[in-house]
Amino acid sequence: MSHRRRVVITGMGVVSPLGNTPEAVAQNIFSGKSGIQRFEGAFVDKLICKVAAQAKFNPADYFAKKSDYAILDRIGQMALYASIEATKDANLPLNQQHSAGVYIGTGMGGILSIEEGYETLFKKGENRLKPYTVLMCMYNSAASAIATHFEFSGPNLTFSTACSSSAIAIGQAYKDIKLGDIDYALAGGTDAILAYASIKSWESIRTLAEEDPDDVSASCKPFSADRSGLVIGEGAAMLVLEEFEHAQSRGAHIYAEIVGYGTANDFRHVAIPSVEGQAATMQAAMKNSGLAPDAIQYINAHGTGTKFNDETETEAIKQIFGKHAYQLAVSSTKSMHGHLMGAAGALEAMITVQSLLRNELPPTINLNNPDPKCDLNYVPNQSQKIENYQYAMSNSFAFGGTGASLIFKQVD
Amino acid sequence: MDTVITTKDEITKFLTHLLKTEKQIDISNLDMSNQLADLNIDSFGFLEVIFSIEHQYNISFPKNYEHLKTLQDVVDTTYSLISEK
Repeated sequence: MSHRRRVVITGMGVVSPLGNTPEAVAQNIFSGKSGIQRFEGAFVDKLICKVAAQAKFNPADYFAKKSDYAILDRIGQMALYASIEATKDANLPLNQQHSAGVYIGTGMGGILSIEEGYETLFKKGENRLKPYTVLMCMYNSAASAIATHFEFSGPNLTFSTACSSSAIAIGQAYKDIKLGDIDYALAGGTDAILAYASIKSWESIRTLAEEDPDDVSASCKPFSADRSGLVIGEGAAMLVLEEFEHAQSRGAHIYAEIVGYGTANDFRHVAIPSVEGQAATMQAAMKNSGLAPDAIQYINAHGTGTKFNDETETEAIKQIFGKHAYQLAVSSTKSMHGHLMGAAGALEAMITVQSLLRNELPPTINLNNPDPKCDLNYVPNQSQKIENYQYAMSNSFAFGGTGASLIFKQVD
Repeated sequence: MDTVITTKDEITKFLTHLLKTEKQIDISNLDMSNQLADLNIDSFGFLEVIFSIEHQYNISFPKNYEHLKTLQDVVDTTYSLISEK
């Protein structure tokens, strides 16, 4: 390669508990508003944990006709809509065949369709399933819907690494663009797991937050001494990743640059995070970026609100950044949008980019009882303005071990 | 034995309704002699039509139904599957 290829973000689209436009998400995030509520669903009475972060997304309101979404699982509906909005935002020329790519992360794929199928057979006692069942259940259904919609002929890839799925998807798209394989891609994630059996399976790991008795929306309390777990959510976030000169030559608006990506495996336990595993992930991204540790000014933490993660992540940040850990800011926006599982990394990447755009750090809300073991600047309860802002990191860790960190740079 | 006898007219009506509502097909000039291949429904779309018919009448079409060429073939097969129940 004659010159170093750079990767920038030129479009964003989202479906989330904080709204279905990037602007709505930013408005809520930077004013510290939570999208966490009492779960609305037929089986709510059977749940021990009745708190969730649901996306207010009725596909009939977002697509012109039923045939545009009827054969898609909710993951496909949300991801396709987010992708359509992201490409409009990027003003991508879509009037020809493109060797562009689709890179999607999803933790549990078409679980709603799987559950619906089982209900039809086992509960209703019927003996046939809808013809599209396989195509709705398969993990690559969302990526396929997007690639088909835009007639993209490049890589069509789905990553499933639990909660880091979409950070991995963005990272791998970044790599392929950097390598010169493609000039642009839709990259992000989608997950819709708010079905009865899937919530029950989360309940059984005893990792879900207890409902705050005074305020349901304050149930997720990352880094707080009284945190009790994560709040499961749903949604999709899609970014247009584009090679810098490709973006520049068509006069695209550039939101931010991706300057680092690293992934590492936390091998000690399938579900209990280790400082070494999380530190290795951040280290891999730092190495990839070539930046000195003190360049990083903000970290959008994985920050699930579980006892294990928040202590471990704090310790891992200290290990990588040393004394600088006390100068940089860390926050968990999951306190507001909940844990979007396979879509979490992409939504948090989007929020990190918005942070760079606004020179403002998103808060960790519900942080009123500091945990002595969590002693960094977590931007408690209110956003903070920041000057000379250049670099921010977004962390994603996961059951199964696959961690991913992404580093973003403000556009000059 | 079923007390309700389903007639071919009823099946035709149901099929027409399906094509209109599920497949957005203009039924104003629809004729049961129309070739399935001319309906602008892909093979998966046709699977959905068959699924809805099976569901409606609690019957099962054979795995391979390539011998069905016209809408009338679908009506006739549906009728005989109901009669065989």
